[in-house]
Amino acid sequence: MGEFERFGLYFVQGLAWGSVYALIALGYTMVYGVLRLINFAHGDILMVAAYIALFAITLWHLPLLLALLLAIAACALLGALIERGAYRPLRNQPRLAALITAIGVSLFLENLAQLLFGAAPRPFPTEIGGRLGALMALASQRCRQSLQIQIEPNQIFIIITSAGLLILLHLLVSRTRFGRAMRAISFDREAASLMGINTDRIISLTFALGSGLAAVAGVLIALGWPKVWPLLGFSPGIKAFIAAVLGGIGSIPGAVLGGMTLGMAEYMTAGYISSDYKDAIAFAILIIILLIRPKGITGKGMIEKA
Amino acid sequence: MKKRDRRSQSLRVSESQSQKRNFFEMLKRILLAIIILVGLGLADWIISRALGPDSYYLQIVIEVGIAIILAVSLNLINGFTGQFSLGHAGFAAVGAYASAAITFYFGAKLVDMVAGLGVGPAVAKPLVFIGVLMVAGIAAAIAGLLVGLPTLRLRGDYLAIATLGFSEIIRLIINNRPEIGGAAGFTPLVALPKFVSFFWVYLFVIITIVVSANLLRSVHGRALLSIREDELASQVMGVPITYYKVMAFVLGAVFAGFAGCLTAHQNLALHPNDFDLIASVMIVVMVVLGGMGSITGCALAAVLLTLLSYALRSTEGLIGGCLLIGLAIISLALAGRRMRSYQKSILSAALLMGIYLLLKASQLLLEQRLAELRMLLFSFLLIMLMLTRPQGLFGAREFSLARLLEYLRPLLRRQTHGPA
Repeated sequence: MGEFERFGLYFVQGLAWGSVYALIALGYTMVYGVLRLINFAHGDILMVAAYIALFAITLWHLPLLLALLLAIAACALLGALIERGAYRPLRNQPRLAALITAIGVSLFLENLAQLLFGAAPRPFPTEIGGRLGALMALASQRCRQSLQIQIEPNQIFIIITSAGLLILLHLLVSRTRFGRAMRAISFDREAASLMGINTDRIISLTFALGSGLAAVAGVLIALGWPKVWPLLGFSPGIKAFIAAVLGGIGSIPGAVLGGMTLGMAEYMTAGYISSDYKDAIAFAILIIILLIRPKGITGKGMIEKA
Repeated sequence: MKKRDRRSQSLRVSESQSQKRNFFEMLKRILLAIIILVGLGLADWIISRALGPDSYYLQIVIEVGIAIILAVSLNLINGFTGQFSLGHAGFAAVGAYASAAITFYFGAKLVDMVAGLGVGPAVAKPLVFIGVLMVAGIAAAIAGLLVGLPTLRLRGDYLAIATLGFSEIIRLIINNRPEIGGAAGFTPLVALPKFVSFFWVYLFVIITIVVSANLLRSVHGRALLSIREDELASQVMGVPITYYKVMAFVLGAVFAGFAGCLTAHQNLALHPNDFDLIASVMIVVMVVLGGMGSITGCALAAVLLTLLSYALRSTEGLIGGCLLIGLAIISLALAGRRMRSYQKSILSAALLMGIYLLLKASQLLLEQRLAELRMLLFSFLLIMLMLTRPQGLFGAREFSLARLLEYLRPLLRRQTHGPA
């Protein structure tokens, strides 16, 4: 394998993971924007989505896209439900209380999944059937022939889906009333509510949106690395949070940038240095970034009070 | 002239008096220390006779003690100074692995060496153990300094994530070093005979509590509190913020290192996953549940949570846990008349969840899948506790009998006068 092909392999892997990290990091960053809360349960939404898609495909024989839509809907609902049940009662309490509750929710989801589905990993059907699958296979072949880059059909699907969703999200946040309301809340929640914005509803919707994106990420992870188990969301969840901090938490372009940077850094480390320290590199990057630019790459130089 | 003379004379008198008082004060403290040591020794003897030296219950008692040390030492960082650290298990890991490595590689040699100095082996072993403990403390202190110095610029959530990152890096490094067991764990640590006993653990419990209580009442403690309350204001008043933040980190880390060393020599085995994020989170939960800044609160929460996690290991405990959840739901339902609509929706969801859990629990009890139910119940109780009492059991206050009586008085009075 030539040097360029090797680099291409790591690059594609990094891009695929990076786009998944970006999708998850968006959920963290949006929730942090409106509530100033690290939603620890966000990673476990991935796992729920992966299980839903798994059952939709293997038990009910739905096509992948339909299973994906089902997972998005269910997880959006779950996210909104978690916000109502666990976070809203604590909104006027110290932020630490909500953080602990979030950790509790995360443990709860993980253990519930373990109880219901068992701790053993289950295989996820990886082939994308039908016309979509054929299209991806064709694209993969073209890439190999013309660019000399080895890229799996599923990786193409992962990258294209994430890119599409990122563009959609950008339009949603920058062009719609909902997006404007969300930005207003993250700027100043009280002032936003004085301006007639129904903050509770927007916060619920933000959770639903973030969880929906996480659901897509969960299904994509299951497609690319086909093992579904109760702790599936733990490590990607933490890493995506790091990505969000890396880009500047609360900033949407920052989350995308952070996710891509982290994914690339991880797979370049795994490829060129040592795969044993692949996970450590994420944390090392985090600490270095926090020390040099505590507000992240895109963060503004504002002073946090209290 | 006369006046001034008299004043200086009286000053001199009071000085000598205060010196005398200081001497008595010191004598009193030494006596107290001796009494505590003897008392601990006695308690150790009684408990090991009553429970047997290797019993399951003794192990629980010792683990409760280690949990208290961890919670009270994290309270120094989280509760007093207001620096949210999510990496306390990392410091414990440093202490545990540093001491375990010494015991594993040099333990027997050190005991021989110290015994060769003229003291018998009965004295040499505790001396070596004290030395190992000190190494654990120093190693953890260095780790605390390394983490504290660069991260003190960060605040709030950022600090939490940075400390989490550091503790994960520590864990990953341990994972990749075969000399200290690597990912497979470090075992067995038989070079030193099993030392950790009720005496040692509770000696350190007392030291940790006394040090933090005295610190709180000193100038340094006030400085820590002022940083927690308002960092900017205390900086303006001339408090050296950097110095105190690092001090809190290092002190907290030292005690975590002791706790790690005690864990290592209690279990005689170590595994990197014992010090993962969940372990750190559990310590944070103890501090938050007990009430940030309340020493007694943290200690009590450590006892309660450790006992809870053990209680949920038995069938009876599990049934009790289910009943507790049922009770919480019923009491919420009774208070439901004053609730708003969203609270009612939570309640109904919780009710459904509770009923489902009870059904599932009974099914699982039949299938003997206790371990899986345990963590589920634990997390559910945690959420319930935070929702019902977000400021922790004690808030920032300490436990006091007087306040308990004050709180109970109206209830007692109502009983004597009949219903009002």
